[in-house]
Amino acid sequence: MSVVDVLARATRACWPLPPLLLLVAAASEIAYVTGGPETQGVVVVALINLTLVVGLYTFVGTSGVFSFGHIGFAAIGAYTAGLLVIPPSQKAILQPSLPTFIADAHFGSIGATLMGGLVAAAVAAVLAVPLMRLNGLAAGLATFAVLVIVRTVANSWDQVTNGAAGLSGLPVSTNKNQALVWALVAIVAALVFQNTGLGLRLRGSREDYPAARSLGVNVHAERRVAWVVSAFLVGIGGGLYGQYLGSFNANAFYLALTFTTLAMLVVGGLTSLSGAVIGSLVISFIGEFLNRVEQGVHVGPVHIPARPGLREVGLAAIMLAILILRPRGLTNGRELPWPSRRWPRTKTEPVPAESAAAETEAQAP
Amino acid sequence: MEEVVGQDEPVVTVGVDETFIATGRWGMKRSIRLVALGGLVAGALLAGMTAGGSAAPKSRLAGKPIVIAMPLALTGVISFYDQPNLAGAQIAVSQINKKGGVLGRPFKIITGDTKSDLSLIAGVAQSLIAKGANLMIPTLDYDFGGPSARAACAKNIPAISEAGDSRFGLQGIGRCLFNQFPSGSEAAIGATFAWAKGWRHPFVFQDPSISYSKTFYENFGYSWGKLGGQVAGSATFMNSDQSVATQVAQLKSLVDQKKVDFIFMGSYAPGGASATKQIRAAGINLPIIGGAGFDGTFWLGAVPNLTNFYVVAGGVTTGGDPNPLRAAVYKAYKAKFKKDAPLGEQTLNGYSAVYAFAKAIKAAGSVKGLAVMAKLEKFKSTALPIGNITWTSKCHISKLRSLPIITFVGSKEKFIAEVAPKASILPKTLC
Repeated sequence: MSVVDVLARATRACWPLPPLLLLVAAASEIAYVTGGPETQGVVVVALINLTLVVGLYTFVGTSGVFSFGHIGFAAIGAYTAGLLVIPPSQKAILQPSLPTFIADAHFGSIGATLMGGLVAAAVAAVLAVPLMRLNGLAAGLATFAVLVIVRTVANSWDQVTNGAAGLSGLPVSTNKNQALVWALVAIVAALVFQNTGLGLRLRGSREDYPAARSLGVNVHAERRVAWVVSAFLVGIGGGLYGQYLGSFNANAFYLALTFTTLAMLVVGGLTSLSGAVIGSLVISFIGEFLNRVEQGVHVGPVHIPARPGLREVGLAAIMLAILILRPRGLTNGRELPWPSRRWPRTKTEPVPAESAAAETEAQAP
Repeated sequence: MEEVVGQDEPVVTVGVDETFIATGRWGMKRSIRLVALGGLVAGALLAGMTAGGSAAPKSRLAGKPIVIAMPLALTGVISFYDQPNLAGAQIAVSQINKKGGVLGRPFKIITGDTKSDLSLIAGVAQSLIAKGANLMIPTLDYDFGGPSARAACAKNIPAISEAGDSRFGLQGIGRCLFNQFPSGSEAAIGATFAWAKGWRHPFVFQDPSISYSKTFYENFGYSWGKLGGQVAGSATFMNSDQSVATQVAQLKSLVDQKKVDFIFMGSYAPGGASATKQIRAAGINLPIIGGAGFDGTFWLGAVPNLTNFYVVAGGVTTGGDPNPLRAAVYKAYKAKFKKDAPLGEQTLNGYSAVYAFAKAIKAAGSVKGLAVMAKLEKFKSTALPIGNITWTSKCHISKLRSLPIITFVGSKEKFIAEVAPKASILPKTLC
């Protein structure tokens, strides 16, 4: 085998990871370098949203069960990370009633972010027991209840979350590089997860629940694992977001963020990791593009005057158009296709045209 | 004054196709090519657009404008509060510029829309700073103005605005930020007014949905206790509650026993207005005291012919404010926009901030950030349209300034009293 073959096989083994990672890194790098401070902020938020969407996909995309509750895990991640990174001296002033073990704890940014993910995963593990028995609409409503409960607790637990006033004084440490690394890690983790035996069985149950059960797949148990893994990733995204905002309250992690992330996933294509990544990038990009148009631009000799609110209206219209034209999302719910014709499979085993075609079909989903 | 978020956002349902039938793959590559092409074209456009917005070189030439950055919520839930804030600042800038500006230089406002979106605020503020801002007037709220103010402090750009949260100042944000609102004092002013009226038995409506209303009724409890009073009863509700029948029944039974002589409304419109309507509908006509959440006449349509309702407000926007400085601002607003200012305090905030900057710059003889901050820290009962402002090097919150109490007659506001709190009844705040 030549080096090209080895490379091709290696690339194929982890497909569609290389193009996705490259796309995310290149898009964010180009936008960051060419943009002003406002665009740079948008890039960081886009990468955080990407982490959240990939985390959401790890459960929703693989299991096919809709969740409106994941931003609750982002809130848990953000509050946990926030309480750990605020310097103890500042906590003593701003939140004198904190329990001492939290008041004295102090973590670095990365450690706190990981702890945010872990605590979110721990909460998810408890919730998984009752919730993962549910299907369809009941599951959607129950997960929405999780969001409402987390938000209400965060808004009322004065001693720990500082109630409606929220946390403040977090060192603003989430920059482009940090957000990018976490986003790439999340993408790799999601791909590894969906290709494990568990991930494959879960995706099977997504396509045909009774068939999967009849083959002996313990769907509820597998959903529980996906739920916890996904809460971990979303918790990390929340921790990053908190450390980007520097100060936030429970409202930062509620309906607006829930629908933004769900829309990104649905527009990209609910059932593929490529869909999660592309949807998230496309929506962030269109949002920022419309934001520019909204402030008034010159296109050649024509001046388009400022139109506040254009971004929201335009984004909604474009999402609607995408969903009408491609109901299963931009990627049609599939991973990026392998450029099969250009890559020789192997030189030693020529495959008859008929069976090669059949094999490509089989590998397509 | 504080955030009004998330209570009434419409719930959108997302349709899910649970069958996920595999369809043909012909569309895949084409769509990726389309997306990539679209991305490239848009990227080029974007890059072209950003190239135009680079920072202007600094120079100290006379006649060069002094730039005030206003990263505000021009759209979204907070825009209701920020629009009058911007209007006030614009009026002040045109007045000052007509008289030749400050140090021979005119003021110029540049705005950026933060869309009431927490994640966008810092970026918008930084881009305005990169355009050469000398000063800043951020959104008048801790949550939504804080990120901008932090960006300003990182570059030593003086910032003036207001928020009821005492973190909105030196201790919570940084040295650059000056808060015009008497944080922590609003409820004390309401308590002082009620006490002076001879009312002794309050029933407190508590709406813990946002930080503003929660702090407001908690502070009232503190100040009322310091005055020597006792609370006759209290009931909790949420701003989004459609019905407060249970809470009103609780109040009604105490009223029937003559144990209550006024109501303290620790809430804000629209939920607070709805609660007020239900209280009046139950035949309870006792005086009600509210705060900045009821400032302005925008909510009166919900409770027609409301009487005996007192607001710790910003000023009398519908004409007849006895304070000539405030009256002039509202008059100028009406002349410019052909209608009364929708909110009292917020209009004064932008207006007064510009005059405070002008005063400090004149005193400092320059627009250098640290020099201007040093002069702002010397303000001692300095008469500004918003009130008499005192800031020190230890405290950037004008805690002891007075606020007017107003009431409503039909759809008009009427001035009742100007009340300043005693320092001894103020709750502990950050400074």
